[in-house]
Amino acid sequence: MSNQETSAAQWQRLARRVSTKINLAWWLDKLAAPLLITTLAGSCLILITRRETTEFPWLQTAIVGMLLFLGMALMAWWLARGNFESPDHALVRIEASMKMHNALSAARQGISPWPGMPGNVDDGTRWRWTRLLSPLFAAVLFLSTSIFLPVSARNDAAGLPPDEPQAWKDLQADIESLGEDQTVQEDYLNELEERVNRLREQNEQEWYSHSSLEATDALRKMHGSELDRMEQNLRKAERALKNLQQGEDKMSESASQRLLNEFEEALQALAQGKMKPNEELLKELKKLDPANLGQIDPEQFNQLCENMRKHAESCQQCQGGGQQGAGAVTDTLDSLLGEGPESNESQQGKGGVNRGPGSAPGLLGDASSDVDSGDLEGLDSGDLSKSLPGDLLKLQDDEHEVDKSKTGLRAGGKVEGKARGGSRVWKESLLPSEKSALKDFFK
Amino acid sequence: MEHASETEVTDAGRHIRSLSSALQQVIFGQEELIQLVLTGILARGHILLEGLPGLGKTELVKGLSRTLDLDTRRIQFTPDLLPGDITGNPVLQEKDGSRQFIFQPGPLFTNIVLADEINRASPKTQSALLEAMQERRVTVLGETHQLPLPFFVLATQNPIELEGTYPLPEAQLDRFLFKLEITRNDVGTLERIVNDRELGTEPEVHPIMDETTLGNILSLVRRIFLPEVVGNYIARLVDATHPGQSSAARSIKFGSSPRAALSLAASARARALMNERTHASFEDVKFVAPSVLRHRIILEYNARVEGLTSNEVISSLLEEVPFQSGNTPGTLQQTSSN
Repeated sequence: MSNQETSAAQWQRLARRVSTKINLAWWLDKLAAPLLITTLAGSCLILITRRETTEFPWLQTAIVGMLLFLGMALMAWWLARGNFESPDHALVRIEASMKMHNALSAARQGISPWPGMPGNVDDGTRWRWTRLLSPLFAAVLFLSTSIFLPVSARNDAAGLPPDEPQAWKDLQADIESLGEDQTVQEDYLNELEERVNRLREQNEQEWYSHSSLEATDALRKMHGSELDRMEQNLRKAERALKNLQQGEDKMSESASQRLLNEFEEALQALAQGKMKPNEELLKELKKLDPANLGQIDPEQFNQLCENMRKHAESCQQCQGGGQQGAGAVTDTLDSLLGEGPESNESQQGKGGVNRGPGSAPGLLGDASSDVDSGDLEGLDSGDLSKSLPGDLLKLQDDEHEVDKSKTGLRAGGKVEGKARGGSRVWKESLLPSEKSALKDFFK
Repeated sequence: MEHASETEVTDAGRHIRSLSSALQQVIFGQEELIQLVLTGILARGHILLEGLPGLGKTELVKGLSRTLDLDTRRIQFTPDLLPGDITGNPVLQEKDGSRQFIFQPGPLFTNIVLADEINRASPKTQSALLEAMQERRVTVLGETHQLPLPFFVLATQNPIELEGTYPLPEAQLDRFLFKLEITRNDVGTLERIVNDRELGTEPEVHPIMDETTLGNILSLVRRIFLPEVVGNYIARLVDATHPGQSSAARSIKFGSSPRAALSLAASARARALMNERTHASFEDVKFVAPSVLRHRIILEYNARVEGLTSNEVISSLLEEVPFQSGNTPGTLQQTSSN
């Protein structure tokens, strides 16, 4: 191969390399914007999908991502191909950059010989790395953020059944509690559970409907009043029995009869109520002859009383209607009537800016002479522009400035003041610093 | 047409170098001006020299005519000069027993015309040069007379003292290949002039080139290869002089004509030959572009008020228009400028 052919081959190889570089640069230039936009949109999509689903489809996402990138690459090539340079064009770029006076173009046309390849070849271009890598870094950052950012899948509230009303839970807890302690006969518990289940069987959307809540409230009140009634009857029976036993010898006939009647009433109420106490307890109470308590073994009697007390406490501890049962209703009514015990803590309805919510006590009772308006609080409007003559603008707890220095008797016509001027002035009227300054001056 | 060979180019280059050396003995410190004048002559163009009085414009033209051994006439243009005074007039003469109008050729019938202070002549007289400069012929009373070849007009004009002058019309200016601005000399050059010259004496110059050699060189210039990419660069450069085609052209009211593109190509070829190359290049175009374009663009009024000159606008154009036609992508940085 001659020198000319070698030079020609070298220049053409260089031209192909430069042409590839220019075309690659064009392709990357056109790819940058779609890559940024797509990765940004894709990242948002990944984040949303990760938020919405518990199991993220990584494989499918990777495949879609690859296909998208391929599409973008093709689109970028399509857009860039109009600017692509041929090796001949690259040759012109090289000769222009190296100031070769178009020797390569002339040599390509066969006008002049191919020049020798110099040691240092420059095509006149340099990669602009910041512009080249910025979109790439941004794309990687977007994707990494969307993949590695900790995002928890959202709980699908719509897909899960709603929480059942608290009252049902309380009733269910009472059923279980009373069943475990065997405080109440099972018939009542079964019936109550059946009613609660009937409410549960409604459409979930209806659980908090007005009618459902009304029914729940009625059931809770009924259960509460039953619990209350049973508790009171058990305590009443226990009290009657205890009193009968303690005053067996000393008690008058009428008092004894009254207690017997009380016990009978309580026992009857327990036996006839919807909620009946434990069957064994009821049988024992029925078997018991209150008139002959002295014949009963004291230990056996104490055990019976203990059982009754435990049953009563069980009823008291139940949640279903205990807190807002009849007792609570009575308290509220007492409060409204103004007859109940007055609590200093609850200041409902009492005057003052911090009086809080609620109705004023005694709303439904007789009008009270005491308005009970609470402490008076001064409200500072801060706006004095609308004050009228005579309005009290400010109260101040202060004293008048009175000269309280004591003055003794003075004889008239006697001059006590010393003459002003001379040494008196600088000795008595000046400040120490002024005195020292004057001393220094006269020294 | 057969392209110029390396040997022919080298041989012509030797002659041109001699010519250039001889002219440098006539006018000191104006090497670039001499190069441009020779480029214009080799490109068969007419040249307009503009400069203050006493800078050696006339001396340069006289020196050129002597070194080329060509017939030269000097016409001092004045306001009362008539077209017939330069083209020639038919004169009533007795011939073969009858009286006929015989054409008496004017001073235009020569090889080199030194049109001194051309802008002092009336537009009518200036226009008489149009046909002569473009078509190398003169028509008087319907009769056309060919001018001798080669024919060059080297005109001078003074940029100051414009009272009583008639600025050359655009059509006239466009016929000048180059408009060259002669700048003042530096101290070293002035010192050399003082030492070597005396007032009122002309430098001794011998003919360097005969008419045949000049003819051969002129025909060789036409055979210099102009690569397509260089032609493309010329086209883009001339196009960029038109308003809206480039950012530099915002200051231009009217751009250059296709004659400017042809002038650029011809002068780039001549420049290549002077550098003993068989092909023209981007650099040749860039070298001659200011001289070719500066009188062919008309600046906007605003630009002139702002003090912008044609040279500055052309410099911006040359910076703006890249040698290669393709753009460079944003991901690449252009490290070399034109």
